[in-house]
Amino acid sequence: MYRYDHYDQTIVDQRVAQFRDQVARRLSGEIGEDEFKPLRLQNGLYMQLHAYMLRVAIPYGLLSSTQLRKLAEIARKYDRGYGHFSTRQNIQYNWPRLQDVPEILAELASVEMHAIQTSGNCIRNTTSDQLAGVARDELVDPRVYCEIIRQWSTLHPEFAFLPRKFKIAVTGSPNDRAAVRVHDIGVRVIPNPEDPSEHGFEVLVGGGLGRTPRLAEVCRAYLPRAHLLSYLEAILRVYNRHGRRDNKFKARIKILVGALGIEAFREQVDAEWALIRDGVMQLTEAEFERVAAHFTPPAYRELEPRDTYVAALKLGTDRALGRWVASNVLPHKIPGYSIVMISLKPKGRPPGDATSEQMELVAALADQFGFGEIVVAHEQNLVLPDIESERLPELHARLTELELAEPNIGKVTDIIACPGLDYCNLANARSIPIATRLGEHLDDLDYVHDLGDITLNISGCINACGHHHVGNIGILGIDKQGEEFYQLMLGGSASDDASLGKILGPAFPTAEIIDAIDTVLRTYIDNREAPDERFLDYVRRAGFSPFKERLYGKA
Amino acid sequence: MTLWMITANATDDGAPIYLQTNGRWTRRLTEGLAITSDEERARLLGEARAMERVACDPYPIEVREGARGRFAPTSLRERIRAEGPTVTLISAIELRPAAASA
Repeated sequence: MYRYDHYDQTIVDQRVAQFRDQVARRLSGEIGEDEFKPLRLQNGLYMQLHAYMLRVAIPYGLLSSTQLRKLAEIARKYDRGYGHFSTRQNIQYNWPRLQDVPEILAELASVEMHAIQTSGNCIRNTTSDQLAGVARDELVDPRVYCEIIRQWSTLHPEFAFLPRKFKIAVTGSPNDRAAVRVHDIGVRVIPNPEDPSEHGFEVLVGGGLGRTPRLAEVCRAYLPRAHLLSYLEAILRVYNRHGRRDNKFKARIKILVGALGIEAFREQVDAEWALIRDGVMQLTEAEFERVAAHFTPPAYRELEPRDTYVAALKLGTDRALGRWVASNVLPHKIPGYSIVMISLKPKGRPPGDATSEQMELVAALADQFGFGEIVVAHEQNLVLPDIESERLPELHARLTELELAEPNIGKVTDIIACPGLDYCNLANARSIPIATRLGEHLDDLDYVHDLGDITLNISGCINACGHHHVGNIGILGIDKQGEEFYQLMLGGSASDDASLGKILGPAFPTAEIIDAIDTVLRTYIDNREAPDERFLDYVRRAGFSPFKERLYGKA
Repeated sequence: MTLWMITANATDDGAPIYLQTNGRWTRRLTEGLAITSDEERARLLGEARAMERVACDPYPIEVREGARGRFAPTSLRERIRAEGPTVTLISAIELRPAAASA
């Protein structure tokens, strides 16, 4: 993985010192909240309902075991013994004291981490495929480009005060696991149509969720890789110049692209790009190699393929192990190895939360069973990317020690949920209790597995941090005259077949939402053509009528 | 009659705080000062804003008098803010080794 050089470390250390001084002046009363707020936000420090919240960047979700241990230590020492892994592949601490934050940042800096650009109207953490570097379908490891983008976007002076926040996702696989179509910019690594031995990028622009959900459109069908940064810079310049600064709700690039139309937007980008494309931002082979050298494969052993062994585990007599292998273990590009997904959605627990002990166990297992690396998935789970398949039963046994072996990856209980009204200053309704109640309601694992792959996303407000628009089942919490209600949406997808879900009908009160979801699931089970017809495919084939009939008594 | 209370977040740890008499703050909503008039509300809000060293972004909330004269917020948001998350923190749960094998 990437290791800081002198410049990276200096930037982070200087920022710690700067913020330490700013915090001291805030606590002494030398500066007030109005002055302090933009300073703390530049360091990922929010004010939530009950306390400050510190968001720590995890570049493209990749952590070393040392870093994860530090995150666990910080949770125990300065917070309440847990952290929340977010849909942006970051971690959030919900209870830090202001006076401790400089020390937390110093501890983070000691393991090459920080909270810079995790808030504010700037380019945020670049996200990627959680299977980057190990997926069988991968064309190129996207983390090299994520890191190049990270270095370009960190403290970029021109883009420190954009009209609104800006999110970039990169995928190196034809199967999109990074949700590139719902990002401000989505970058897909693709072969050069004229020379498949080379690769470049398809660049999509204008995606996003929130109150105006929109799927990104192709801005450039093929971009040679040497021009990645100059092209991104051209897009950011057009956005910076024309993005709506007069209205926060219309300030994202998706609104600009929608207003101009993709052709007109592309023309402006091309005009800007023509001015800079052959300049200093060209990505040279030497620069690419400098960064790529950090992402060389680890020292894999030469092993026999073990796919048959893994398949046998799924059908073995140990049903707990079999279910776990079936849903949480994925094929690895190297023979004899597997990818293990660790669900942070055990029954009745807040989605994405992990205790210090759990983080320390995962770090230890990454060292003992892998090469000391862990990935945070945007679905709020963790990944151990390099596990020898022979050792899967042993690893499974260790994970069960701390409720880390829930066999539900990709299943309906693998719920993505924002913190909601239990923590968030912006929320209208609670998200976590809906997730925990649903997890407890669906306690028959055979039934959950029979339902197959279903994504279920919950947001506590229209800002859509739980990505409800792209859940196969989306749930949006709303406030109706002081009472929590929940709108049901169906048909969303964040994958290759990206689509935005649509509202099914009138919202349900808290007491009825679990039964409503149950009805949706049973409608699917009762009507699917075959067990392998996915929920999403059924919704697309059958439409909303069967669901409406059962839920509302009319089609 | 509408009752109000002035609330803010404490500068040192962000906890919800409620204005009492004589410019003091309490962390218990039940110990906050209930305000009955618009004039008093505006005056106390102004005083709270002047205490920005210890209190961030003060604002008024509506409260009602409940059982035994105890005040409670009328909105769910402020109830959760006053009482804490409605879900048990994962660090307060004894994690069960057998859970995954159920």
